Parts: sequence; structure tokens; C-alpha cells
Amino acid sequence: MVVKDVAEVVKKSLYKAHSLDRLAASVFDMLAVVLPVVTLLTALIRQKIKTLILLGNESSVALYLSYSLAIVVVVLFSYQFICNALFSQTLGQKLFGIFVKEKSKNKLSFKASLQRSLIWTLQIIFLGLPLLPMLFKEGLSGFHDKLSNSSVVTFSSYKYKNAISQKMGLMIFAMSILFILATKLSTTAPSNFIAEGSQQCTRGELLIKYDVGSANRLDKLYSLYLLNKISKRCLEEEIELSIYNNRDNDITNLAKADFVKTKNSDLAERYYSKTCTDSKQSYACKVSNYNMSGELFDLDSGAPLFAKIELVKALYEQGESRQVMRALSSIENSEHTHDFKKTYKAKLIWEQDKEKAISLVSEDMDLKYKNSFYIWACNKNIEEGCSEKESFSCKQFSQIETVTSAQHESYELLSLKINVCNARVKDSYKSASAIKLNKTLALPETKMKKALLDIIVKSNHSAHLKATAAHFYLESANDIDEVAPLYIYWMSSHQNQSWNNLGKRIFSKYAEYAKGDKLISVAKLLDSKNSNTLSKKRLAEGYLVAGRLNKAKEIIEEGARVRLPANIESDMVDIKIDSDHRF
Amino acid sequence: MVLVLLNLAFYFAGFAYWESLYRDTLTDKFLLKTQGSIYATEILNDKEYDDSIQKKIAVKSLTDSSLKTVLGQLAFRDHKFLTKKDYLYNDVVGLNWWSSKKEGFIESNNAFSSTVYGFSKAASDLKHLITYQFFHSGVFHLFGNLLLLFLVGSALEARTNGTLLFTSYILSGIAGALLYDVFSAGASIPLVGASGSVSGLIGLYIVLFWKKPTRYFYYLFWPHPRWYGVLNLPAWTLAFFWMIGDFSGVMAGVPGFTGIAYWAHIGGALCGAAIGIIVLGYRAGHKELGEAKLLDHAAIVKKIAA
Repeated sequence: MVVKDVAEVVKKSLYKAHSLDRLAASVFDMLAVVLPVVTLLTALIRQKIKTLILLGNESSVALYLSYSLAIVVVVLFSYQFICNALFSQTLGQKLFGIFVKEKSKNKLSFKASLQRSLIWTLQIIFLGLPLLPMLFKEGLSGFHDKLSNSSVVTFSSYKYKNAISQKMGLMIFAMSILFILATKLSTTAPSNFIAEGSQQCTRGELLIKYDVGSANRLDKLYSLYLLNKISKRCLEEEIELSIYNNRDNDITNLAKADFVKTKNSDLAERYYSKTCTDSKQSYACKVSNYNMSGELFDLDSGAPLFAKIELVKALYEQGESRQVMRALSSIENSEHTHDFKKTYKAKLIWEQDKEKAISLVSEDMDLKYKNSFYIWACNKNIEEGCSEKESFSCKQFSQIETVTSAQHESYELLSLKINVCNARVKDSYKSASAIKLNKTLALPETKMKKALLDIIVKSNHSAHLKATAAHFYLESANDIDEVAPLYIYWMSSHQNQSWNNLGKRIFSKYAEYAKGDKLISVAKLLDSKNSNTLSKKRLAEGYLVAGRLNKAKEIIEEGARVRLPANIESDMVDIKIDSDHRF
Repeated sequence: MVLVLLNLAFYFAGFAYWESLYRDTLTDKFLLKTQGSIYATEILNDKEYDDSIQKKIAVKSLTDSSLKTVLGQLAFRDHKFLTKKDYLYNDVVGLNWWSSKKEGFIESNNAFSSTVYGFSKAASDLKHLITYQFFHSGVFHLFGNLLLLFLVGSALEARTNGTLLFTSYILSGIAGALLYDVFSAGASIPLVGASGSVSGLIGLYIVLFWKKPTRYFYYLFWPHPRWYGVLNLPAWTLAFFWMIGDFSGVMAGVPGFTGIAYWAHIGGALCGAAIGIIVLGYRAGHKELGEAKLLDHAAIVKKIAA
């Protein structure tokens, strides 16, 4: 029944509409009328907003949201006004048998409709808060009622049972919904479709890139990336632009190999191989060969910076200290290379003089490099035993406040090691590696060892994770059979310095069991599959551990540069062993 | 009932778990990024993509590699891109690696139920125009459509007949798929579901019973007897509620980013409405014919009496 003129209706008793009926009518209006109309009218704006978010132009989204809000306000007002002016009731009010009546008049006037609708809409804009008192005090008129001199009435004498508890229940329900919505909105991870953020390079990186110029640009940028002066994302932008501009060259392939090597070693190998397609003499090819098979290379005077950096790292990994110094000195001093050179010098003198090493690093160095060094140094200390967690480097490590994304993993893995030393179980690691390893360490012993070995052997784990897993595995290994898989893996790898430390520890453990034959058979197998300097080295080491010194000498004289295990004295072997080659 | 059972049968007979390769491919970020780079190169060198959202994203992705992942996901929906033989991307290693992954994805995609039964650019024959209407991508998809089919179908069958119902269902589904094909801009993601067909039945119902009161159940989220109930409104109001969702979906959707085939709904509804108009016309014609026959009969009787 649409109320056109109250006078036409048989005179009945009029009651003030119950606040719950008024609320229900409003909810019905919102759901059945306002929401569909607003959905339609704001469709194009929503499309625009989605497009802006996709393109990462979030700054313009607020403007379009305000347009949407304006449309909502207009629809709300228009609906109220038209219904009040023409019918004295909205659809929702009709459903609940309530209608609006102007006091001392039969029909709601145009002016009253306008006033009422305007003020009601304003109150809704303030999230309906001005309307709340009406809900709790029955019979109370709202501002829109008072100012338009009207009220919402009904012919029905229906009374809500337990009205107060109904209202309380409704409030709690509404608050819960709002709370859930607010929580969901604040914790919702960005959709996969939404761009993560458009800052490819920071301002500082942009300035560095600008300074590089255009001559041998990619070589220089790759070197800066290796020196941690520009991030992977920043370099990636240049690499992709280079590829797009039809400049697929050895540096783009080298960089791409570096980007993917942790996640996809097969693909990395393909990129490395590709660098040698055009020229096997190029430094990019030489660096690739090192990454694939551990073959070291020499530098000539025209060697690019990235080759020198990679050679320093490679020689250091192989324990060639003297060669490292030589390679370091070939790198020109500049603001970009200063910290890198200092760090490696500190690492080289660490074994002999830890204090001097630390003092080198404590000088005016980039915080990134300092933190990197302390992470490295504390790691080395902890490998010697848990008592070293009180060392200076570990204290410096505990004071690190922020790390770069590249350092994050190694930082957390070292924290895990220290926590294990302190018998402290911590559950809140953030890096995937630390979380994974923490879970693994919580397993029962047999399962833990198997899981650790899994981590070490599988190719899609980072070197840091593998090294830390190996550290824990070795701590828990009880006999030669348990250590053997680790040794086999170590023998076939040419990974970083941490693996060489591991080798030393493995040798120590093997020395306890004093056999060595197994080492030799594995080394022979590896040498037969892929004979190179590394495999010869391992074979010689195996013979040394087994005490078959003449055989070891034979292999060493063939050219394998060998490091002695800690328990073998150099005078037992009648060969020239450079003291730098000791463990 | 037959339609409901057919939908159920297809679902349980044809449902297949995703191949792990299919699932892994869609979540492999590196693959998506590489695919995005390749896709960006194609888009930037193909005039067909001018004025598209893909082109805008591709341009921006040159300086923002995170958008490459977005493009990579979009690429799965581009049939033309996926079926190309040669690509312009200059990273040969990356391209070869991606190509092998793509072949694997396409192979497992072809075995996936939605591809076997669904309607797409690659599967647009009559068989697929019909089978897609009975296949759904998940339990909730099936449940939602069956509920609507039951409600509208029962109402229609009670007032008309099963033949009209079945025919309208199939024809509306076909119309929906065809309209979707026109506006889907080369989508390779298959269209599945009875939504187009059900929309057709709704369109048919609206036209045939335009003014007839239709009962709506309403519930205002509070368990008080006055806050829920039944409302009688004329059938044409269904158009308001049903079509608003589809039209706003079409307008608000960014091409290539929506998972709901609004155009299939609209096409189905329009077809159902058209069938309704034809039926009404047929009935009106028969009524006139019937009246004319009665008049003739009356004239004969009068003549005889005279």
C-alpha cells in the first residue's frame, strides 16, 4: 500500500514506528535498491581504479574513490528524496508498513522531503553515527525528523519482544562484521595481479647508473652489482631493456645465470654455456666456466672489473690467499671498490690476526659491508664451537639492526645457529631458509639427519642454507657412514669458502675413524667422471688422509694444488707445500 | 530434473584433478616473469594490442619488472600468443626454456577437464557449444548454477513444458557462448558453466510472465521474524536484479582480468527473452486463429439456424 494521502485512508490509530523497523527498512533499501544502482553507476570508475592499481598508479586511486563516494551520496539522497516526495515512504518502509508523515499535514511536502532527505544523507555520510541514539532510545526523533517536522509512523501496533537485547545483539553483530572486514582489509596480501611497487632502482642507484655512462655500460653495471652497489632489481631493468633492444650478449647471459642459479641450476648452466658461444676467450665465458666447473682463470691487463671481482671471490673460495692478494691489487681503488677490497683483506688476515681484521672493517666502511663481514666472522667463530658466541664479531653481529635483502638469509641462519647454541627455540624467523631449517631441527634425530641431507643435496637451495644444514648435520653425524654422503657432496662441489671449512671439519671427523679408503674410492669415481683440478685435489687429499703419501705426492706433482688436512704434518711429505695451502 | 542430473553427471564424470605441472606452472614466479617478458615483447611489436590494457602494462614493465609477473599471468589467457610459432624475444636461452615449459603446460591443459568440455577459441565447434553448458569448474560453481536452474526451471516447467525448457536452455547456452566469443578478445581460458543457459531461462521467464507476481525471499542478516520473509514482486523485477550484476560486471571488468563470463550471461538472457517473445507471438497468433475459427463456427451455426 502506497500512502498517497493519509486523509484518504480510514482513520486508524497511528503509532510511532519502532526503531528496529526503521533500521530494517533502511537495510532493505540499501541492499535491494541502493547497492545495485551504485554498483551499476560506479562500474566504469571501478574499472579505472583496477587499471590504475594494475599499472602501479596508486596515487590517483584516491581521486576516483572520491568520485565513487560522490555517486553513493547522490544515489542515497535521490532515492530518499524521490520516495519521500512521491510516496512518503521508501520500498523498505513499505515492506515494514511504515511511512513518513509531516506533523499537522496529510502529506509530506516537497520542502520537508528535501530537508529530510538531505539531512538523513549527511548523517549516513558520518557512518550513521548520528542515528545511533534513535536506536537506543525508543521514540527519539532524529535530526532529519526534527528539522523537517516529520516522523515515521505506522498503523501497526506490533511490539518487539526483548527489544533491548535485540538491539544489543545487533550492535555486537555489526561491530563483529566491521572488525572482521577491517582485519581482512589490513592483512590481505596483495593480489598476484597487483604490481608490487614500481621502484626498480632507488634514487642512489639511479645516480650511480647515471655516472656509469654508455661505454661498456653492462660490464660496469654488472661489476657494480657484484660490489653490491646496485641491487638485482636495478640491474634486471637494464638487462631486460638490453634484451628488448636486441642486445643479447654475454653479459646479459652472465647476469641472467646469476639471477637464476639458486632457483634453477639447469637454466643457469644453459645461460653460462651461452656466454661462451661467441667467444671462449671472453671474460664472461671464463667466469661462466668457473661457475660451472670450478676452473680458475688468469687476468690480463685489459680484464674488466667484473672478472677481477669474480676471480677474487673464486680464489678466496679455493683458499688461494696469495693469489687473492694479487687479484685484489689488480682492482683499481675507487669509492665503489674500496669496501670490497677492505673486506677481503680482512678475511685473508682473519686466521692470523682477528683483531687486525676487525680493525680494518671498523674503519669508515659502508654499513652493508660491515654487517656482511660480521655475519661472516661470527659464522666462522661459531663453527669452531658454541663458546665462540661471546666473541667480538658475534657481539657486533648481535647489534646489527638492519640488513639488506641479500644479507637477510645469512643473518637469520646465523641467528638460528646461535639460538641452537643457547638452546633457545625461536619460532619467528622470517626467511624461508631459516624457517625450513628450524622446522627440520625440531624433527626426531633420524628424520632430522635425513632431512638435513636432503637440503644439502637438492639443487634449489641456496649455498647459505646448504652450508648451515651441513654444519648441523656434521654435528649430529655419529659414524663414517653418516659422514660419507656429506663428504661425497663436498668433494663434488666447488662452492664457497664455507664449504672449505666444512671440508676441514669433515677431515677431522674422518681422521678420528682413520680409514680413508672410502674417501679414495669416491674421489676416484668422481675423477673418472669429470677429471679436473678439483677432482685431482680431492684424490690427493684422500690419499693423504689414508696415509698413502707417495701416491698423494704423485698426484700433487702432476699439478693438483693441495691443502693439507690439519692432522698431517708437512714434513711427512717430501714435497714443497706452500704454507698458504694449509687449512 | 533432467538438466540438473545432466549437470551433475558431467561434473562427477569429467572432473579431473589438476596435473601438478599445470598447477606448478601457474605459481612458478620465475616462469611467469619470463613469460611476461616474452609477452611484453610481442605486445609492443603488434599493433593489434594498441589501446589495450596489456599494452599499457607492457610499456610500464620495461622499467618495472614486477609487472612482468602480471603480464605472465595475462599471457595464459591469450590464445594467439600461446599458439604462436615464433617469438621476438631476444634472450634465446630464456625463450627455449620457456617454450619447453609452455609445451608441457599446453599438454596438461589439454588434458584438463575444462579444456576437454569447455568452450574456447581452440574448441568452438557445436559439440563444445553444448558440452560447456553442463560442465563446471568446481563444487560452488556447480551448486550456484544448479540452485538457480532448480528455482527457475521448476517455475518454468510448471507453467510451460519440458521441451520448451530444454530447448531454451540449450539455445541460450549457445547464444551466450557466441556472444562471449565476440567480446572475449581471443581468450584461451575455456568457458564452462550453465550460467548462460540459466540466464536464458530467466530471460524466458521474465518475458513469458512479465507481470506475474514472483515470490522473493529476503533476509536482512538478523534472525528476527520481521527481518526475513517473502515478498511478491512482478517478474520483470528479476531483470533489474539479474542484469544489473552482469552489466556492471562487464563495465567494471578490466579485459583479461575477470574470471566471470558476463557476456555469456547477457547473451543467454537475450536469447531466452527472444525465445519468450517468439512463444508469446506464437500463442497470440494461435489465440487469434482460435478466435477466428470460433467466429467462423458461429457464422456457420447462424447460417444453419437461419
